[in-house]
Amino acid sequence: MQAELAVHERAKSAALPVARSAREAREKRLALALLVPSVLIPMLLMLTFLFGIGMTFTQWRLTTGFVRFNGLDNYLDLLTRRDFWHAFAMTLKFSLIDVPVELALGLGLALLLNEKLKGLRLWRTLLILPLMTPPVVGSLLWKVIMRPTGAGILNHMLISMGLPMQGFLGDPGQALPSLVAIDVWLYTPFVATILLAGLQSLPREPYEAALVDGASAWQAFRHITLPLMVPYFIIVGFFRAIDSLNVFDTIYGTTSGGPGDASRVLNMMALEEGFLWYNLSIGITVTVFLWAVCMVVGYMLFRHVQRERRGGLA
Amino acid sequence: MAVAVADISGPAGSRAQQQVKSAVMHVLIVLYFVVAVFPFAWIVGMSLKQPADVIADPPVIFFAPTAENYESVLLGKRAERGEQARTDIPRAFRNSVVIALASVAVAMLVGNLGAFALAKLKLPAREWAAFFFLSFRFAPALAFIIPTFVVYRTLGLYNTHLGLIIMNQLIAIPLIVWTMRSYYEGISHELFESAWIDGADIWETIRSIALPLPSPGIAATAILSLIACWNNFTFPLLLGARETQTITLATITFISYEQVLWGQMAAAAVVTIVPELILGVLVMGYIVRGLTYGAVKE
Repeated sequence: MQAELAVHERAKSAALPVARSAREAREKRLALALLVPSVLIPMLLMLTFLFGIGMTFTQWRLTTGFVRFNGLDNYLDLLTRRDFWHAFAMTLKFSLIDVPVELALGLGLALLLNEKLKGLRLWRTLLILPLMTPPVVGSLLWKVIMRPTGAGILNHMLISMGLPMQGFLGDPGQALPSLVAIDVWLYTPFVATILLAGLQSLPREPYEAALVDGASAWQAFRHITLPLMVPYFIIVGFFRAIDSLNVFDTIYGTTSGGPGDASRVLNMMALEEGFLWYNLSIGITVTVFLWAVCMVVGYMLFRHVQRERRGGLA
Repeated sequence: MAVAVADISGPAGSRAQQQVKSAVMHVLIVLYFVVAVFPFAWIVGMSLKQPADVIADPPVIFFAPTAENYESVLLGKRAERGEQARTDIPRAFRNSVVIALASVAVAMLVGNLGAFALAKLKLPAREWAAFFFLSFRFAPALAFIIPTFVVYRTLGLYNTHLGLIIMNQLIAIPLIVWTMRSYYEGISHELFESAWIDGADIWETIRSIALPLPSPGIAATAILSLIACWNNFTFPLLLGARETQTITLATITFISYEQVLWGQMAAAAVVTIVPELILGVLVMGYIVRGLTYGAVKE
């Protein structure tokens, strides 16, 4: 009886590692099998993109179907074109104004929504309104409000306050700031929602300690809240940086890059070159350039997220 | 749970100071939301205006409402006064529903498998696979649209529902893979271990653990990808034409070189936004994870 049991035990302990490694091998095969379908479609589209990179080394006219290999000509052409540098500068300018404003406003909003205020449920519901709106439709709402005539409600308000009428989206000097304003309206809720999640996950202990030490509210905010919120700022900051570099819908819906070239960002230039002048290869070269910029920023975000995942954010 | 800065102003802050602070905060929040909600209120108002009221200078705040714009937009009824766009909104709405639903159905099926594999199974180069998916989220849409345009023209996928459904995978699959991965990672590994030791095969494990446990997350992720596909504008703009026009795209067709049909555009905008708001409110509790692709959890 005892011998039998011992044999049984031995068999069990011998079988376990074998079973484990066999299972791990099976698990790996299985993982690949599960991953293949989800990789397949993006892989096909990635191949298309690689084909697009190939197109940057050609002269590809849409109208005539003319295709000719021309080496680095497209890249060299762009580097010497003033409108390319203008579009690049506009893209950076848009992003560099847009993101800090959204982060600052979003933080303020998140701090408010983290307080015990009346109607909090209503506020948090209203917060997601612009988030659910298609950006192009959101920009149309503002196009209506910012109409450059007296029929526009914003101008009507200015006039009734005794201020001069403004051109907004129709004014070369105001087009980009107006677009930033629309983007801020669209995406501040995004920033606020994520920062609010961050605020709500902060530990209580440091604040209790600060209270004992007699720290002021501002000191607690400056030395506890802000440092603890850094990972959240990085995540929203990167997301917004990438999306604002990629801005397209809001501009297409309102100014189409105008007036003149006042809001002609890289995406608008690519669209015009590709689909208006039928110069597909120049269009794709512009977007490949933008793609590279976005990938660098995106990879930094990815690395940050990887680190946080190991450390366990929230 | 909420750590309010106000909590720690402690004995230093007198009652009166607290009240002032609270009043200021209420004013600020109301101010923000007045500005944030105003465009929606204005467009709803505009969608109920008659052509003369729409273009009135100065703008009219109080007016006799009319359903004319909605009748014209939704039922194709000819406006008694003024012009009418030739945009077929009911068809655009159908297109949006068909394309978004089909896109999400495909993406949920394959994306969830991928997410599960990335979260719970040992895999070489797992992180690179994860970055591969994420890279689509960062890429400018035009970088994929221009070469796809050439390929679709050759393959006959240009201006087809299928073509747009394939393109939407660029949006839906990365979102689903990354968001669902974070849900699957949240399930304790011991649960899977014990299921496997009990001899359950992978399909049983998925059916008994991986699907039921995060099911609210699965539903929320599906809805968020539905909204993302619905909101997309560039794919139908450049890879489709009248036959595949979606509602998001149709809204903008009321603006042409000759004229802007503000009232009908406003009605179309309302029709575009309303279904999304309903869906959005449903998934409010899950929005943070979806927006950050699982990087931040609520």
